[in-house]
Amino acid sequence: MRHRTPPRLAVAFLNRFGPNDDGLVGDLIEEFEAGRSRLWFWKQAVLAAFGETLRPDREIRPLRLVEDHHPLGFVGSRVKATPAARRTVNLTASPLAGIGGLGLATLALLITWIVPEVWWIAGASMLAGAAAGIVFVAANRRRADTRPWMETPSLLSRNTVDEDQAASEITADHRQ
Amino acid sequence: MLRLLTDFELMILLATLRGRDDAYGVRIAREIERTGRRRVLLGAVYTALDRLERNGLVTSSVGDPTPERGGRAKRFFRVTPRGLRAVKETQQALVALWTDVPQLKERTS
Repeated sequence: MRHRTPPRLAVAFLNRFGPNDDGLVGDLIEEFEAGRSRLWFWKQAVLAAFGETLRPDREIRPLRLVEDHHPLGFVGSRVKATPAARRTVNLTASPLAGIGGLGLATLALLITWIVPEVWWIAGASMLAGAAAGIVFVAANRRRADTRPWMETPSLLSRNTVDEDQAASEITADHRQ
Repeated sequence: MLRLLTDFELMILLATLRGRDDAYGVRIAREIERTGRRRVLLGAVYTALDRLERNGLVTSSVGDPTPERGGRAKRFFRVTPRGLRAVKETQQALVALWTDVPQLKERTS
């Protein structure tokens, strides 16, 4: 069977601006292989990237902390995957991953080059920012625990899923 | 009681349930297009699935990469007991709304 090559620019565009999800890119390539047009591929890629920019958990935050999932959670040939496991830590105050880091690097370079004596101020500011972020996260997590499940923000919150409880409730429903 | 699902969330959960152990993006989107008679964007499907996963209604796992997918792995989805409960509650609410609607009764009789 002859493989069609998907539009490389569209794949690169999706990798750069779309959701960080191999499943979606693979699905688009699979559909393209099945006969979809290049225009269809581009449309899907652009709209996926556009939708990604509208996601509520991509709002601008100076410090984005995420739940820690072990990257080696293998189960047979499949790997446990959650959206949180694929998220990156954003320290740049930019909604787009990878954009904005240059500003921090430039700032560090300028401080080092022009006024290295103020590095202690920059260091103290970073520590204060990190401390404020931790306090903010703790406050949000505490508040998130008291909210209904659908209103709970995915970011800065604990996983409130209790499948055993849900399963027991379903069993109870069946018995009634 | 869980919040009622939107029509798209409900369709995605039902398509995932119909897909059993082989429910991934393309399969779910095709199922919705075939049975729901509506076109869906794969990106929208994944956005909704991510939201459902964050809310504990589905779980996902990644399969092996395959050449026909450009070396990308499939992401399989499964409905959790909580998701199943949300589907049932939404179904009950819709059926309750469905009953005793005169206009609908006239057509069926």
